[in-house]
Amino acid sequence: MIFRNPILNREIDHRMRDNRTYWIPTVYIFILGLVTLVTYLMVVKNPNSGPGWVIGKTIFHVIAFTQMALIILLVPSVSAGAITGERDRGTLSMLLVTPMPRRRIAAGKLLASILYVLFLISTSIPFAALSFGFGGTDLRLLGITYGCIIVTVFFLASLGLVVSTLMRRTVPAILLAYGLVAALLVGSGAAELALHAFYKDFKSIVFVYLNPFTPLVLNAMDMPSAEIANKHLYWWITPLLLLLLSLIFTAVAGRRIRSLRE
Amino acid sequence: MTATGAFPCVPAAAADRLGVRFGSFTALDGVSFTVPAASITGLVGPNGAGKTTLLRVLATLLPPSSGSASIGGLDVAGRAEEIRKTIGYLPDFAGIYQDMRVVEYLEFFAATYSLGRTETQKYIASALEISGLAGRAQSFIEELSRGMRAKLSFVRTLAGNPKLLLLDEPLSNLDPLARSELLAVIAGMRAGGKSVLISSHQLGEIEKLCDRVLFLDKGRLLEESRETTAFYSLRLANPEADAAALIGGIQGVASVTPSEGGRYLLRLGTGADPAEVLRGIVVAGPAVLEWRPLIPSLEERLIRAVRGGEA
Repeated sequence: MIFRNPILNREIDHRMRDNRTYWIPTVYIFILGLVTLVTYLMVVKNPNSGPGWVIGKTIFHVIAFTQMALIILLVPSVSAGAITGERDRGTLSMLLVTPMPRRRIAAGKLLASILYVLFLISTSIPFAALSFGFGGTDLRLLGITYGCIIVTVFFLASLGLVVSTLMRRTVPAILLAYGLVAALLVGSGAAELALHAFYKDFKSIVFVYLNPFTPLVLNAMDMPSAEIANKHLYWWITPLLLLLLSLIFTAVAGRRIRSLRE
Repeated sequence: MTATGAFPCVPAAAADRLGVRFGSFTALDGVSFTVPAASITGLVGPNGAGKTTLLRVLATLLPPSSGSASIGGLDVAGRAEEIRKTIGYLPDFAGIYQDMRVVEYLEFFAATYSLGRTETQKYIASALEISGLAGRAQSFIEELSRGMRAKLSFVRTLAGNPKLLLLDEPLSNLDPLARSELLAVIAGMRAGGKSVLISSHQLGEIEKLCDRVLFLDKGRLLEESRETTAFYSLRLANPEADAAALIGGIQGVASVTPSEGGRYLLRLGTGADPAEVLRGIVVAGPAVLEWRPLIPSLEERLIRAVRGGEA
């Protein structure tokens, strides 16, 4: 028993005994390694690539984008089955009739999803360290980038948990979670375009701040708090919004689990 | 498993005009009963009768739509968190974490009841002994037979030292040996002062196990079984030709049907005292060789009750 929360301990044990726990990090590291190698070769072979730190910087940002994409692809499937999986197995009612507070069930499920993805993210550290070797980044950028990724993990895990408390079966829950994430990515862009079509002089972005890639784009353009096409943009708005939404989703999930009858 | 098992003075469970509706469908309709402390009560009825719904209400998984239900005097609607500390619930489709070892599974449920280290060890030792799985404590659950898993699921319900066990079809899909072993374990709970409410289609075994049985059909409680009957077998030493007419005239006898070998089948009227009827027969003259109540089997009573309800 590592933690005091039995659900969290159980989830960790379960994941460590699941074969997927081993091949998912393997595929994850393989993709990051491949992307790093391809990026390196492309930059090196480009006669206009500039000095060595450009290689490091490019590798860093490509890894950050790849990692964000992998997390968006992975987290909904990890978290959306948290409660529905118990229902599918016929174990949910057994948990609900124990005197364990329902919020501990929600907390255990959420933390288990987050810890698993954080474990995956930790496997990318050697690749990020490579960019330090080339001198293309600094600790501030590293902190901001990984902070944004971790907040996104929290956001996606809490979204998945809410969906898991709303649906009765795992497959529809995962599909709905992916649908919501896709709607967020596509919908925020479409809404932004519509907004600027109506208000051509609007000096900022609104909906695209909900896109987890936004701070990565701003950081990659060296414009964490500057102007693009006369628009004032701040990288920190996205993690703040996602954190706020995560807290709301967590509260809703806790409330839903408290009222779950089976 | 430290505290004593029985609720003092109050029934282990009770329902008063309990109703549960799902939209326009009525799953339970005005059900009233009590489950006495330190007793085993059976819950029988056809599929869809409302047995599982009733157990889910008592397990605080479903709210009553009307009426009330209580566990140890605590109302299921308002005192669910307190009730969960006093009950053990085995659902009809009881899943199990197959990737866990037996001892891990028991530790997990001990942790959900916030048992301390010593209490957990005592619980696990007791659970392994009761289930007969002491030799398989380190086995993965997926390696266990169905009967072993059923016993493990059952002892899982004992983690919080419950006063009342709510068991939904615990005997289904078990072979006769596993069923017999699990029945012996359940019977042992009564001796430990616990109360049990068990639903099952295994009527013969329920009849042997239970102190009393509740009959449910279409959401209604048809009857609470009693070990009394309106039918008696009478055998006379030298029956006269008019013996049937003689017996038929005794107060409390509703009908007499002669049979072979001096035997008669008597149906007593409502409220008739069998002892008084027997005394009346003896006083009337015939020498009585045998006087035996004909208690119908649980299956016969269930069928009769359900058909009576349909009629």
